[in-house]
Amino acid sequence: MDYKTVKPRDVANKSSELNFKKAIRMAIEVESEAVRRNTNTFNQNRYTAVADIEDYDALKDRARAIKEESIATIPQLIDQLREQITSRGGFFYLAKNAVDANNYIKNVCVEHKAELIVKAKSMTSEETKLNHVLQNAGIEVAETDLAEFILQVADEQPSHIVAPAIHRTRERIAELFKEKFNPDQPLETGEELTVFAREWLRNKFLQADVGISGANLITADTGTIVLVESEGNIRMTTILPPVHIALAGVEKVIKKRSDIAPFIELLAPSGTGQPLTSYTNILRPPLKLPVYDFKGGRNAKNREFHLVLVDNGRMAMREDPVIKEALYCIRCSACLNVCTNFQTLGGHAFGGETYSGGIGAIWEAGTGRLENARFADLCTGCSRCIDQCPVRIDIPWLTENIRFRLNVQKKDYLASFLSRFMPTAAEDRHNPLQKQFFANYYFFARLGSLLAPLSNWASSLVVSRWFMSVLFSVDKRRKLPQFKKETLIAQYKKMSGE
Amino acid sequence: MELYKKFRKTAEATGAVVELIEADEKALAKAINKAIGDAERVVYSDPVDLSPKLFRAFLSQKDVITNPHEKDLEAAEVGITDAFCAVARTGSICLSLDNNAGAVISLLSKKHIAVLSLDSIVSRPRDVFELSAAIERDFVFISGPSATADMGELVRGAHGPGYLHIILLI
Repeated sequence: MDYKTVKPRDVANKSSELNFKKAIRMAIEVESEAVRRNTNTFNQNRYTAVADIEDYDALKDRARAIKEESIATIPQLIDQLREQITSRGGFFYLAKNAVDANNYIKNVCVEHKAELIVKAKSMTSEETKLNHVLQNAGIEVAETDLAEFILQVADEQPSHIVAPAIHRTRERIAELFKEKFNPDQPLETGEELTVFAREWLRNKFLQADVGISGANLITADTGTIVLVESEGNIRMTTILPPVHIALAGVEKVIKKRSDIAPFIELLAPSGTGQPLTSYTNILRPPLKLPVYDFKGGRNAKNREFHLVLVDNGRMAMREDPVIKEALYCIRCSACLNVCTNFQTLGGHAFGGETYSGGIGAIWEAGTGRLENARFADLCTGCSRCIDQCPVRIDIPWLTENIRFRLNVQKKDYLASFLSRFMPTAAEDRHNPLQKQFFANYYFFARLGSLLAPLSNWASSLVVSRWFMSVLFSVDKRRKLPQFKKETLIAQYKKMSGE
Repeated sequence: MELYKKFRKTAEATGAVVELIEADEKALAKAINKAIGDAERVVYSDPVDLSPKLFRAFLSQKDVITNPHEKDLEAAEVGITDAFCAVARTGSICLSLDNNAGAVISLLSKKHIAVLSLDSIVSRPRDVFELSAAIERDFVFISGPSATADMGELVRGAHGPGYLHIILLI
């Protein structure tokens, strides 16, 4: 099979084991080069940037404490926030799930007879698949973050939570633009590609009826929204159109405006490795600024603002003593950039429909189905990411727990039956046979040694290799160890005259 | 001056140009004109935090659009605003969003010239939240020109201005 032609979208959902394997092969062949270079740049920059923060560890403790307190008091914070937003003339909506959030947003846009929507990057809107709903309502949606713009043109899901088009080299972006836009002048350099996209999108900003953004943080005391970016597209999305809708998960709410600082001081250094990104917006929408009318013929001079908070599984995550940890995540991507497996594969293999990396597995499980988190397998538990997390999440512990749940849920009857013939502990009998086989390697080695040379002959048979491949996932091409009647330990004892 | 040195270094690392001049309307006019260079369609918004008097000499001699309409904003090459503070560690300036024209011209222009007082430099981002000027206010930390790395390499000048010129007044 030619894995180069596998479309990332087709293998986004990892509940199918076959998809998962295809995605890995495709990522290695097509995307690895770009992912490796980009994640390594972020990673090196992060080391430099955090070294410049003199109280880095204290700041991490502070951020962690604020998140813990916020998640523990979400219901109260939501009530306070609703009061804040509505008292200043904004609208507040708490959506139960993705469908609920999408419908609310669609209805606001339809009410305004919106023809064109500009969108700033929002992973939450990727999670709820908002664009489909808006487009089905006949509204044009323009993704304005340049990475999201690439993804929209290519019809691909994000491969990284901060830089969603991290899997494309400049050459592959140029190829894509050539195919989709057929520009008069060939686009080659990053500068040329950027200027092309900027011009394409500038007019959209000026004509847009509604701007949709996400939110990095929202404070309950003042309804302040923090939006972090570098391109200026979030500033345009929140300032230029007369209607602004912000969509965010309920976990983004913290208590106080004065608690914002630790997060902005940690977020950019931990993510892209910059002291701050080009723009960090501190807004309390609806903004009081009058609206400029670039489109012409607009009546409304007053701004309208809607804050849509979405649950979509988060409140259930909050009740789970393990998964709850993921709610502290500020989506900086440090854990992705430092992960050697992620550096090789990127989020199209080491990721699901929306979220990527080890932490992404928890998010996919929490906001979707547990099986979607199968890519948690790619976490080897090396623990390199733990120290890099600005809110001190032990991600390997979480992925380990997800794998355990997947194994329990899988109900592998063959494995539980065959486990009776191995010294597997009762609580591990649901585990996949491959895991049980290697966990009991000592037992099988003893058996092989006792039965040598018969065991060597038997294991070399085509039929045995077939069984080993099917049952224990031992590849047929792998060279097997040769068993000897006399074990190394026995030999040693003989030599030392015991 | 320590804060200024640090600020200058970090701001230049973001790609911004930093200049320190006397807080005098003639000196300011000269500095702004130099920063504008040959550019046309210069758009100005009234300062929110600095005294408008500082800009009198500049406004009297230059063909500047002071009360911009949509057409002017769309086509602006240079946008001039003030800013209420700067951050030494990150090389950022903080722009108030209380002034409509300022919010938009600092975004749509190709070059943004920002004027602020030297003694408004603080050490870290967290210090900004302690300022009385930042309480109850919508603002944006601007750290260098707009930029993107999404097209396979770092490019300065994404959706926002590609040039940021910071003038500090002593």
